[in-house]
Order: sequence, then structure tokens, then C-alpha cells
Amino acid sequence: MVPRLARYALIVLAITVMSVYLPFLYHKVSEKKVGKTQLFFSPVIKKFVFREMVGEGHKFVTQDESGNNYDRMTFETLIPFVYYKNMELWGKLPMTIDGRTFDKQTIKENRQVFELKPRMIADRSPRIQIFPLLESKPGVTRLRFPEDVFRLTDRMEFINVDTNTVDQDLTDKFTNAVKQAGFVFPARLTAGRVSILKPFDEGFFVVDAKGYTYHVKRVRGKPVVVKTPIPSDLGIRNIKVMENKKKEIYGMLLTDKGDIHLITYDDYRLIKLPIEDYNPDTMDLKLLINPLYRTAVYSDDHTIHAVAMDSRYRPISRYQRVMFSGRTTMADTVFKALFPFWIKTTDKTSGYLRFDVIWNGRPALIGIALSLFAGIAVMYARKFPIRKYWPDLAIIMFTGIYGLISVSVIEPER
Amino acid sequence: MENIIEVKNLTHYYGKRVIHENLSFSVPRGSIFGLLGKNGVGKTTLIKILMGFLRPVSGRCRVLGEDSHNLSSVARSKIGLLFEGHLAYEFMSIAQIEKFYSAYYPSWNRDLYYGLVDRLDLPYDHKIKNMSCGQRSQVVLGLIFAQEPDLMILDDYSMGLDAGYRRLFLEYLSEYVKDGTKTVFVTSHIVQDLENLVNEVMFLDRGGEVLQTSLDEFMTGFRQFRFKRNGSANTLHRDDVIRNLDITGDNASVFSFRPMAEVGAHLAEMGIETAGLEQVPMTLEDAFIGLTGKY
Amino acid sequence: MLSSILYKEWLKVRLFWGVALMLNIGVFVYLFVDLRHLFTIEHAEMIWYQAFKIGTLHYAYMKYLLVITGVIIGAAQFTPEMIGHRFRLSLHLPVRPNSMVLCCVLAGLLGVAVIGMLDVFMLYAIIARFFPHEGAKSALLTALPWLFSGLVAYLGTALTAMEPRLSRKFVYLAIAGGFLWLFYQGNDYETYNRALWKPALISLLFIPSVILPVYRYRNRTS
Repeated sequence: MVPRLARYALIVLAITVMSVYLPFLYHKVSEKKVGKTQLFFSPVIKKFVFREMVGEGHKFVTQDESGNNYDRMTFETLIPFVYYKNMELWGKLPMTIDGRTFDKQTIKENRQVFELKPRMIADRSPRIQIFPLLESKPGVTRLRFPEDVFRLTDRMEFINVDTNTVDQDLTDKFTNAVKQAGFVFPARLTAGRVSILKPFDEGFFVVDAKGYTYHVKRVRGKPVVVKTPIPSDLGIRNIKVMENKKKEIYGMLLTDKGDIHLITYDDYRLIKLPIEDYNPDTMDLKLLINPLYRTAVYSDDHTIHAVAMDSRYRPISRYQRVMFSGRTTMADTVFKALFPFWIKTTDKTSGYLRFDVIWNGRPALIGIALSLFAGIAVMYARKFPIRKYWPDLAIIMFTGIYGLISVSVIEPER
Repeated sequence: MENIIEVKNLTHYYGKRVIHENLSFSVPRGSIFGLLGKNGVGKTTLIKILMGFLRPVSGRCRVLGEDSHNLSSVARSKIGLLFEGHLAYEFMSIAQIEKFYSAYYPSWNRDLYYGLVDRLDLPYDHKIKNMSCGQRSQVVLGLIFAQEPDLMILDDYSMGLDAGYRRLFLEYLSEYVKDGTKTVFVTSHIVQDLENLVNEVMFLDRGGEVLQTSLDEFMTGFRQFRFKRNGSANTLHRDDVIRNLDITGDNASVFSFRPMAEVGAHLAEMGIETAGLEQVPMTLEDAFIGLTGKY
Repeated sequence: MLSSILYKEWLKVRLFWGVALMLNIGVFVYLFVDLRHLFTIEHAEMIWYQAFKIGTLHYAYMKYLLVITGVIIGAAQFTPEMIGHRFRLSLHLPVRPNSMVLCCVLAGLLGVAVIGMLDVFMLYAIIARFFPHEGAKSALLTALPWLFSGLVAYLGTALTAMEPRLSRKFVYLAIAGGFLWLFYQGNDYETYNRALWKPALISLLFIPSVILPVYRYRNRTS
């Protein structure tokens, strides 16, 4: 009895190991190069245009949403704000659209790209809650890291990096400043862009215990704290600070409901993006701003969505399509038939590992049936009475090929 | 009489090679049972099977009334087992190994162990791995005696032992079996040692042939007859009467379980001149070789 | 009886346990020296930036330390049993073989775990010396799967060592090795925070599985 259980313990271990590595190997062998679809709103023809990889090598199509095909050069001239450098090369600048004329400088200055990927969301990746608060007015051209970092506990605590001890003065100074602005500890969210490779520093946006958002900066060594008018009942999940030279948008705010708001420099006024079917946990979101339009493009592995907006973020046009890379391939079908389930360890939408069991559904019945058949054949060949060893078959029934390999290699003891 | 070991229809193969075929025998309580056989006839294999370290192809073995393959802890505590080559935990010292084993056996006799081991004149922290073969055997036997087992199974106890150690061991063993309640199952390649020790013997031969008998019966019943050979001896061969034969120079010897008159008549019938036919006294070793052959 | 088995296991492994202990301490002493050196040649704020934002794991060379420890202790424990089939000596002891083996394995696990605990302590102490306590806590959470893999490495070694048949040894080695690697799927800090319990829980099955090679050892036919 006990040796039997020991054998099943080993079989479970073997199945676990196989359901991680066999699918991994399968993907390694079968995976083809797939590019995600690039989708834009053409200010020239007022339609969505896209470039999509449709086969091996460099087989691309460049189309608009109505299905018209374009050659590469024409395609690029349809989205001149993206390819403005080529436009200049081809001598097409300055150009006129809708009666307005754009030269290279205007295009360059009015282009902004904002991005939010699932991994960047605070609760989807681990982050040690220690941050440097940069000097916003350093008086020199380059930003540099201060010799202290802060943590938010029941106060705003500064730690000197050289001594690894709390800097009492600085801590008191900032704690008092944020408290005076009305901040209630502990903080719910601390958001900033920790880098010195950025044009300037906007400090941190901190959500307090009551849900209010504060903007905290260090200006000439002194705290500058602003209690923003952002509503406390918004349910803020993430704030991505941008620090864009244009100083139009502080950053993107994601709510628990999955809405995206832009925080503007206009006294922190929020602009809600009119996006539909956006899932922040699975989709990459890009906001492309050019002199005429704003386009939000968001996609998971399967579908790409886009909404084109005017300069006041009113929707003009929407589009969505299943990408070529999102279509089910032969390899996908074989995968699902071969493996009844697999264990997903890594997750590109999260900084946390998962170890989730993903069931492959109905096609797996084919693999299970074949495995059962093979399992019975193996038992028969090895003269193991099926009546006695039926649990082995039960294992195969639930785990398919993994079970087949496990019970055949770790064969029963007679 | 109660049987301490009972083997019925034991069959075992290594691959296609037959080691035992339908082997049946029993060892009664209080007997000192010698298992004799040349190298490679499966003595160690038999002991491995008896002690549950090997699963036989078929057949049944019972030791102390239990299935040898599922001996209970209680049964094992009553069996003193000497492994071929005097296996021991090499990483332990004299004192450590005694301390270790004493925890397992309720009637542990520490004095018996140190009585044997003290003769080695080694410090108690001397490691077993640094001992000679003889010294190690002394420690191992000491452990088995201290255990005071009901059944001792000794697999080739004499291996690597010089005469003195062997003699010492036999003395201890005689002492141990004196009251007649203890059973010993022993194999040895030094047959003569067993002559004064065992009261039952079993001869194993290649291919699974077996002869089980009491030592007395064997020593009196199995005989060697010698005669001067001449040309006619060439037709000499084994049969029902002539168990084995040996021709050395001018002398021919035949081995048989039959009395001299019968053997003489049988030889005459075969047309062999048996000038000066006489019975030759044999030691156990002679008889063993007579029975199983020199090679 | 239990204490007697522990006594035997201790006699077997103490030298190698000591070696493994010194190895572990040595690596952490090196970690300390290395970090101290780093902080003298580089600005602390940059090192902290690398550690917290970029995700540099300054203690990464302890990754396989407990795996090595587990293999050393497993080998020290079971090689002497397997040479010349001395395992039969243990199996002949008047104890149930399964209990005896589980006892040996738990003793070995304890040996690995004690060193693992010491690693935890040393890691925390050293990281907290140079970084805020958040950094030290993060280092522990990051190192936890590595420490767990040490226990799996030990159990895999035990399993493989006790198995009588060579071809099956390779099977166990593949399972243990494959499972071990499940604890090395992340490159950043704290990536296992939410899911470590899953492989850790399943890895407990390695403990009862050691019964199988013992059963196979006792039921060989050659």
C-alpha cells in the first residue's frame, strides 16, 4: 500500500514537471515569428490603417480598414506624422492637411507617445517601496540622484544612503509639509518615475489613506506639496507619471474599474479616455498624440482596438480587428489536442510568476483518448492486469500524455 | 519439532541462469545448519532471499514463522545476521557502533560485545574503516552475540579470517548454542570448520541440485573406496551407485552412499578390476569434495 | 530508536555537514566583503537605485548554494549506505523499513534546513547592513525559492542514491532536476511572492516518494 502511494507521489511530481517543460519545449519548436499589428489613424484619409505580418519572413500587408492595400511608401505617406523623417527625405515637408500646414518642427514638437503595459501597473509587479525624491530645480542641466531615499510609513521618512539611517531633519520637514497639506498616512500608492534620464522631474503622486492624491516635489531642497482636486472616490489603481517636455499631461491614471484618465497640467483636471473593452490586466495601451489627432491603441495577444480622437479627446472613429498573430494556428490546435493542460510559470503581463494550470478544453480529449489507448497497450504488453492497475488509467484519463509517460516509465511494482 | 526456517519450492533465476529450482528444506529449532556449496551455487542469494533483500521468482520462505519478505521488526530483532564480507558501518568507531546497535535490542549484552572486542586491544574510538578484515569480523560478531538472537544467520563468516580468529569464533559460537534453544544457519567455504559445529548439512550444487541430511548420517553413509587402477578403469563413470569418482596416478577412488560389498559388486559388473578395494576414512572436507567434485 | 537513527545519520554526515556549513558561511562572508567593496567604489545612491529600480540582485551568487548543500548532505548520507549494499544493514534493523528511511530523510532535511535558516539569517543581516530593511526583506523573499530548491536537491539526491536500478536513477534525476528548475524561473526580485506556495506544496511529495526506491531495493530479483 505505502509503496503504491509513494509511486503515485512520484507520478504527480513527474506530471508536474512535464506539464511545465513539455509545453515549453513544444512552443520552442513550433513558435514562428509573429509581429504585432501596427495600427494608426490616418489624418490624410481619416481611416485606420495598419501594417500586419501575415506569414513567415517579412510578409506584411499594409491596408486600411476598408481593405484597400497600399505599397509601403503610400502607406507611410498616409501617416505622415509617424514617418515625418521619411516625408522630409522625400521632400514632402512642409505639407498641408485640412488646410493646415505642418513643418518638421511643428510635427516634432506636437508628437507625444504614452504607454501603459500590464506589467507597469503597481499591483502587477513587485516594487520595493523605497524611492529617491529628485531635486526638481537642480540648477544644472542634468538631474542627479539625491543622497537620500524616502519611504512612506506613518510619516515620510528619509534615509541617508551613505549611513543607511533615518535623516531626522528631512523626515520632519517633509512629514510636516504633507500633513499640513492634509495628507493622512499611510499612503495607498506612491507613483513617480525613478530615473535621471528624463528631461525634468515632476516628483511623486501619492494617494493617501483617504484616497486623495497629493503631488509631492522637492524644490531647492524644500517640500512642495499640492493636494490635487482629483476625486478621492475614483478608486485609483495606478498612476503613470510621464514627465513629457510638452507639459500638457502629468500622466495616466488607471482606476479600479479600468478607466484611463489623463492628469493634465491644467490644475490636475482629469480627461477620461473614451476607450471601450479595455482590460488593463491583459492589454498594452498606447496613446499617440500628433498635431491633429489623438489615438488610443490597445491590444492583447488576440485583438487590437483603437479609438481616434480629436484634440479635445472626443471620439471620431473606432476600429478593432483580430490580428493575424491572434488567429489560431495548426500548431495551436495540435498543442491543445496533445496536452490536456499546462502549467504557466511566467506571465508577460505581470512581474509575478504564476504556476497556474491552464486547461486546454475539448480538443484535449483526442490526446487523452490516444494516450489511454497507448496506456492500455503498454499494460497489455507488460502483462499488467488492467483490473488491478486501473488507477494508472484514471491518471492518464485526467492528465493525458503526461500521465501516459509517467505511469509507463515509473511502472507499477509487481 | 518447530521449524525456524522453512523453504518450499523456491525457484530463482538471474536472467536465464537457474540459481535455485524447486528448492525445499527446513531448519528445525536448535539445530546448527550448515549450507555447503562451491562458489556461485547461490548460498548468498539464498540468504538474501531469506532475509528479504531479494524477491524470489517463485516459492515460499518462512523465517520464524513469518513470510521472509515481510519480516516484522520483532522477528528481525531475533535474528542475528552476518553479511558476507562482515559488512559494517565503516564510519563508526568501536564504541559508537555498540551504542548505536544497543538501542534496538532489548536484551542487549554489552559484556559479550566488549568481551570479544577487547581482545583486539584497540582504543574504543578506533574507526571500523581503519580495521583489518579480522578485526572487523570480531566487531561484527561481537555485535551479533550481544544481540542474543534466537537465530543466527552467518554468511561465510570465515572469509578473510586467519586460523586464530576462526578458532576463537567457533569457541564463542559453541558457547552460544550450548543450551540447545538457539538456531544457527551458517555457510562457510572452510568446510572443515563446520565438522565439529554443525549437526545438519545441506549441499547445494550448480543448477539447483540439493542434498539435505544430518551430519552424522552423511559422514557415516557417504564413503570413499580406493583401488589400484589398471586399464579397465577407463570405463568408470557416474551412475546411481557411483556418486563421483577421482582418478589420480595409479589410484582410483569412487564415492558412494552404498556399502563396500555393493559397490564392489557394481564395479565388477561394470567389468572393472578392483584390486585392493578399500574404504578410506574422510574428513568433512574430503566428503564435500567427494560429493561435489574438485571443480 | 529515533534518536539512534539520528545518531547514525549524524556520525555519517557531520564532516560533510561541517564542510557545507563552512561553504555557506564562506559565501556570505564573501557577500559582505563584496558589498563593502562595492559601496567604497560606487556611490551608494546608485547602488540603491540599481537594487530597487533596476532589480540588480547583488546576492545572486548564493542562488545555487543550498542546492549544492543539499546534494552534499544527501550524498554523504546515502553513499556509505549504498557502497557494498550496506543499506541491508539498516534494513535489517528491527524497525519498519519505511519509518527508518523516512527518519533518515527527515534527519537530512533537518540538516539542510538548519543551514538554510542560517543563510536566511546571514542574508538578512548582511543586506540590512548596506540597504534599508525593505531591501533585506526583499532579498529574503527573492532567495526563498532558492532555499526551497536546496531541500528538493537533497530529496532528489536521496531518491536517486537509494534506487537500485541505474535507468530508474536517471528518471528520478530528471524529475528532481526538472522540479528544481521550477524554483529558478524568475530573474527579478520577489517574483515568487504570489506563487511559491504552489511548487513548494507539491515538492513535499518528494518526502513520501523515497519509500519507492526502498521498496524496489528490497524487492529486487537480481
